[in-house]
Amino acid sequence: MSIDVRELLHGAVPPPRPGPRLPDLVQCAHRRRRRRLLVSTGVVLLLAGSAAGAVAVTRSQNTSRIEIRPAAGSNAAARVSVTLPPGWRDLPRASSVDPREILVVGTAARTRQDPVTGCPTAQTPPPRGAVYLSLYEYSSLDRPLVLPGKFSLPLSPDQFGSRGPDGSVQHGIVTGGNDCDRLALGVTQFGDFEDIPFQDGNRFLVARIVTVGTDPSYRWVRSGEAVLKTLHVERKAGT
Amino acid sequence: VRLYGVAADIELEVFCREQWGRLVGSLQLYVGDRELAEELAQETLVRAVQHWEDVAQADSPSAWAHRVAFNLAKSQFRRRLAQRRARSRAGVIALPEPDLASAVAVRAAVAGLPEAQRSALVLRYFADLPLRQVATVMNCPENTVKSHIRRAIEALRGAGLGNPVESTSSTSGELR
Repeated sequence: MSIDVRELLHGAVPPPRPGPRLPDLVQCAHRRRRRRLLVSTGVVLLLAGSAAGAVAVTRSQNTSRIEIRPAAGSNAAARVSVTLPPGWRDLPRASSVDPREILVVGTAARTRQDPVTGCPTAQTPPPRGAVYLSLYEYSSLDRPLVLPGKFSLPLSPDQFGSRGPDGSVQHGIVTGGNDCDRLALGVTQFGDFEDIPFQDGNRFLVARIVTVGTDPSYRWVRSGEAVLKTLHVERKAGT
Repeated sequence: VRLYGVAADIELEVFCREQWGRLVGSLQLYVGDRELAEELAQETLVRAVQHWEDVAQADSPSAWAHRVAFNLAKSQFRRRLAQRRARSRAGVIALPEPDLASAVAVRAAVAGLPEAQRSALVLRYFADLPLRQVATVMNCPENTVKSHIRRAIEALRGAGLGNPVESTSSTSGELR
């Protein structure tokens, strides 16, 4: 006997129980909409927070703290560190003797110069506006003190001022000008420089800030001073 | 939820009332579980309320509802099946509904059909959707739907359910 498949299917399903009321469905839809709005808002806030966090992490990574430990030698106790802002990097140190170069950082690669100057002669000189900060340490104040470099300007112990509580130092004894030999072959540009002798604990140091090219506002020099302000110097042991 | 006045409310209420029974029945045949069918039907109607502005403009609100319902069923069916197996392993056995033996046999036979045949048969002959809309819901050509339905009916015959024949009483499209 044939049976209509439609009747077969309808007969196989019991009558439905009463369905939900429309107000309940509408209320449920409203609740979902509110929840979705809350979730969306939460997601947006979370994304914004994540983005801000990523920026903060990136910035913190850019502002790295580097530790400079001296090579083994007679002045092995020298320990200094500085905080590098974005664009700055740690640079190799030259093998100067006294004052010994214990830290060199800058915004461009170091050219073959000892000490660093703002009048490079290499084929690919640092870009105009590059800033270097070199830190020298005197092993003793008992011997004649001179600034590093070919001019060998003399220093006296009373010129080593103490740093302020915020790490600031007195301005250098030479601000502005340049130390380039204008007659040197191939010199293409001149720079500013600043030498800052100072005392930190029981250590006597001189910081040299050099810029490639001159800046009448000394903005480039000030950026080097800002890095110098972050310098951390540990006391020399055994004295 | 945006409703446009009393007329829209009435239209929505009628839609929900009409679709409730069809959805529960279709879903029960499709998933083989009345409780799950009711949950899915209710979820479908909540979504219809949420999107009523669009649903009301659809070519066939009923087809829209069945598409949503079957999609929900596909996504939730496996999970519920796993839960049921877990309950069964734990010794918790659901009591069968008081029902006619023949109805149980039909539901069992329908539940044993391949998914595509089951969908086509239920949408066409329980939900009474025209072939074109069944094809839309199933996302396949109409001829494929026809083929699924023919095979499904042959399978029902093979299951000892008498001699089911393709219905000719529908007003919403014929299977030729």
